[in-house]
Amino acid sequence: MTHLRAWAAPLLAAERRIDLVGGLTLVILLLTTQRTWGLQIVLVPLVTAAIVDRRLLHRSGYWLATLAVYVVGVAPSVLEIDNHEWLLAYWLLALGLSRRLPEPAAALATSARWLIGAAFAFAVLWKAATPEYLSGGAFHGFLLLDPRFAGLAAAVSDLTLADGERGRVVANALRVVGDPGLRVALPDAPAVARLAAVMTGWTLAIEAAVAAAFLAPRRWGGDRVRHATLLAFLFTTYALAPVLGFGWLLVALGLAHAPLSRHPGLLAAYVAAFGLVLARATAPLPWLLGLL
Amino acid sequence: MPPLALAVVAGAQFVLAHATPLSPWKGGGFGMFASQDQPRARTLRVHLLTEAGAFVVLDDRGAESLLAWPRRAALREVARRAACARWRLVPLDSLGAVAAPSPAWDWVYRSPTLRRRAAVAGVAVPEARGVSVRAARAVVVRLRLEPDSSVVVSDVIAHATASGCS
Repeated sequence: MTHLRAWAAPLLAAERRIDLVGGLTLVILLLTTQRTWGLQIVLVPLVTAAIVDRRLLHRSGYWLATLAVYVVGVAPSVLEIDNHEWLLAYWLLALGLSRRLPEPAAALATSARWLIGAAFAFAVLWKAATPEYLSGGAFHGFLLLDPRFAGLAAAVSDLTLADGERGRVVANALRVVGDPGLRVALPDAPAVARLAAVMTGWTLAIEAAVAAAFLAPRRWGGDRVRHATLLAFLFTTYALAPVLGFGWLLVALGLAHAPLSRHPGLLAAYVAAFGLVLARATAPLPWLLGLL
Repeated sequence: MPPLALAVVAGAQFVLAHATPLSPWKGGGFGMFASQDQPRARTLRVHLLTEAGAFVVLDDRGAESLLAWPRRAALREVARRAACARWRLVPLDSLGAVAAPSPAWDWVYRSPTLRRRAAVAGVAVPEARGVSVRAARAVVVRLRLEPDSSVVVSDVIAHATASGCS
């Protein structure tokens, strides 16, 4: 433990933050974005160059070049990319611009703060403006139809994993060949609807809390509240939802903003969140819950 | 500046997703998990009216962008290409017949794997007979769970028709 602390200590300094955050950003870029060969063939040498010489992470030009490669690479499939891939583009821009300013670590922390606050605020506004979400129907649908949530539905109700699979097969048949107007009942249980209602309310509440904490002036709660809400979101959301890219990107933004020299425990918390996101994204929930 | 770019994209995505069939999950990313209307819950069907009867072509692999934002002009072009393509009937699946596409259909799919599969299917069925298409209709269908129920339904969210090959 002492050795680990000694190894991590230099990373707590603001001027070394870019090594931690930049390295994590490159991992996200390589592992969680569109796998087009055109993008990969240029990105891999760029990332390798930073591994060989980490001083590149401190250069504005490196990040702006990475952004340019990324934008050109994903442009042909811009309608297919996920939310974290959009956020990643803004983040690469923030990394590049911050290195041109007199206090790059502080500038990056400010960008991270506003990106987290704005992303969560727009996510909340969208959910609040969607009746399907507010009714609980969206999460009810995910629990019954999305295989990523199948283990969760089975864990809280008397539905089996086989029931979930049967429902998805029927639904897929309807999607592919069913006439509009045809109605098909899926295997369901009252506990699934109750869980959907809880997930609906909790997600809206925690996302609103993160948005408020990061957008409000520091005197309204400060960094302690900001990181407590963001970590609460990470631990509750990504324990259930296998979403690697967005989870890791939020860890990177959180680390960029965190006052690690004053609160070194935040480093351990974000590393734990990183591990949780990875575990949930790579291990099926039924296995984690002992259902298989 | 990065948060400003984020706000501009979020505003544009919100307007487009409410004014057009853009999936809330795509085009900016802020509507994920707000709605079931994600591209994987959508499918593209092409209805062919031929001299041998009406057939439905089912295979939207590689058409992710079209499913994410099925604009009318793009669907009309799908229908026009389908009407202009040469089709062959292949008695393969539970529908009784599958229309195997000619290479003219390839443009819909951007997947090289699918193009190879389509080509293989074309030469592997020597008994197939050709049909001419009188009209084609491209339809994007969305699956959703009805509110307060366990009932799933499919809705047509966008469509376009082409009468013959023109």
